[in-house]
Amino acid sequence: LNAVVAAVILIVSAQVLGGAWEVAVELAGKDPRDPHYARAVELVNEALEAAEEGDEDLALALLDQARLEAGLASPALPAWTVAASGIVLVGFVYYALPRLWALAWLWARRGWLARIRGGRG
Amino acid sequence: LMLDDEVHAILTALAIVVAVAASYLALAQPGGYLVLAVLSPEGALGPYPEVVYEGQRLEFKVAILNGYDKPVLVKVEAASSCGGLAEWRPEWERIALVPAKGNVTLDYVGRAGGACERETLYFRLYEFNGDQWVYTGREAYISYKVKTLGGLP
Repeated sequence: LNAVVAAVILIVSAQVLGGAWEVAVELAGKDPRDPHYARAVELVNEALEAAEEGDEDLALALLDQARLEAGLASPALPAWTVAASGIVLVGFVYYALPRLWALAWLWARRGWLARIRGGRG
Repeated sequence: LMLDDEVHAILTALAIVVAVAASYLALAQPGGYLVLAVLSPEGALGPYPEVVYEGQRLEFKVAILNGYDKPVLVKVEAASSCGGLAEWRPEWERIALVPAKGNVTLDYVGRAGGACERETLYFRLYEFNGDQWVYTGREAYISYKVKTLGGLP
């Protein structure tokens, strides 16, 4: 047996590579949890496989579809919005919650609780 | 007391400012990483073959983990130590788009060489920067002993 080491190297054309790169650029800053994002990645990988198998027309068609999906993906929330939400939550727990609780307690004491107590007395 | 209230207010304001800064720094870390790993055909970290026969079909999975906040276009190349690594002659390559904070697994299918007793199969990870492929410095390898079928037809 002769030494046959591995499979043939399959090279993707510059056009397909450029298309895949365009989708990657479009997806930067988008939310990875968006189904359109996942679909776009899937389509690009299918396109790359098709190109590696020699079907460049199919690859380019899949890349067109991937571009559309990437365009539909929603942008990811910037870090400062997440931080701001955290601060609002802390503020709510620290400042608003005790006051709301006190109001509810006062309302209860003046309302049905007082009536029950009054009735028993 | 009034003074206590003021001190309390200042401490609270300071705590909020520190919390904002810490949250921002923690969430806006610009760094990232790429990981390359060779897995068994079942997708696990082993077992890997220790002895193979010359020309035997070999199958592995190559996993790429993207720790960046952006998708990365990568290429994995494989080359055999028996083929001369000094010039890096890849015998297999695959390109894939790895989603942000996600991973992709590629199927490697090749054959064991017979040019040396012990073959090491190296995998290297490249990243496309929009213009050219750049070697990331990430490398994974698998090594096995190659037996020849001498005397057999």
